[in-house]
Amino acid sequence: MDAETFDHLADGGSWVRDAEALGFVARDGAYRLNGTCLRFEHGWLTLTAARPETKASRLGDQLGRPGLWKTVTAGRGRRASVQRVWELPPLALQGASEDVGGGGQDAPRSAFQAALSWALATADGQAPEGWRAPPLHEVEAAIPPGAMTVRKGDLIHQGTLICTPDRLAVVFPVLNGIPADLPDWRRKWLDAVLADAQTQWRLVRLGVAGANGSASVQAEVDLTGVPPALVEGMVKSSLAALQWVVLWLLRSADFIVDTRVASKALESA
Amino acid sequence: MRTDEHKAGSEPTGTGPVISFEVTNCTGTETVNVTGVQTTLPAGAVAAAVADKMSLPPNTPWALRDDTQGTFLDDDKPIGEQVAPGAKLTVTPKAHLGGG
Repeated sequence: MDAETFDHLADGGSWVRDAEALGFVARDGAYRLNGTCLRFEHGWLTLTAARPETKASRLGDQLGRPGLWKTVTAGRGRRASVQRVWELPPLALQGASEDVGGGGQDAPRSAFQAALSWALATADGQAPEGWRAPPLHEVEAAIPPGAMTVRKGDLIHQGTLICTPDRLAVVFPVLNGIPADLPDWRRKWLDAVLADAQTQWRLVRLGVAGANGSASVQAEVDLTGVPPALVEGMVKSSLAALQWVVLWLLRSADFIVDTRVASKALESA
Repeated sequence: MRTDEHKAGSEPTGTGPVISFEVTNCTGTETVNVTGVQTTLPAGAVAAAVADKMSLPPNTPWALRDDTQGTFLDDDKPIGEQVAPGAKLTVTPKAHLGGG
């Protein structure tokens, strides 16, 4: 484990004690709890868990689910497996305020522990009980100028901040108006590109929302359940991640659904 | 945003309402129908995207002018608050006579 990366969290690596207090046990080079594995990867706090048997696609059909959990593909070829991951960027903890809230008996001892509790509470796709979104003005204050707009050439998209009492999320369209008569091979190709992006880039979930001509590809980071101490860092990190992923995908997604463009190679693949 | 002949007017999508309009370059030599523009997009960003689509120089700041109203759109305000569906706009360079 990369303890040095997390020296800023607490003196002497107290994150270990915080993790153990939540029930994590050191085993096989990682901290584990009920099938969930905790690691640090390049400064990111990462939790992984096996995905239960499901008929969902590789994307996981997770748009709108509370929290950061998402589906990724680990490994390649026959060794490939679909996993669920929860990833917290270093910036979120570096910028976390000292006040992690409450001070009561059940209050988290640190921002790190608050983050872990958030991950565990949203692991089953539910928002943490009693959680309420921070005030809108507080969230908006964390958004850098221009961060809600993504443009690549003539393609341009505006993100939407969703801040209701029981949900906090940032959603960007990647592609508006998927044609209802899009050939099946193009749709599979689009799904493969989205699944690849969701695996390759952290934080961001991708999926198709809507149906029959009004369907759109969306990218989102759902911060529902985020502890108050992490709001600012998570909003900034989420927007940076979304900008990156949307820019990465814009041209490819637009190309795939453009039925004026023929590709014999891809059609036969 | 697309610049081909699709639907005109305002229509809902999974990411909010969109708007369509017509844009002509400042010399009047090319006109494009711009469809599916999110109404929440800042007008300045839309002007840059339209200029790119019309292969206008990228190192020039571009603005949109509403031909009916004769007014320039505010770069920072959402385009949906400034133009009506089907509006006729002109993309024009931001230029002044200097002297300052």
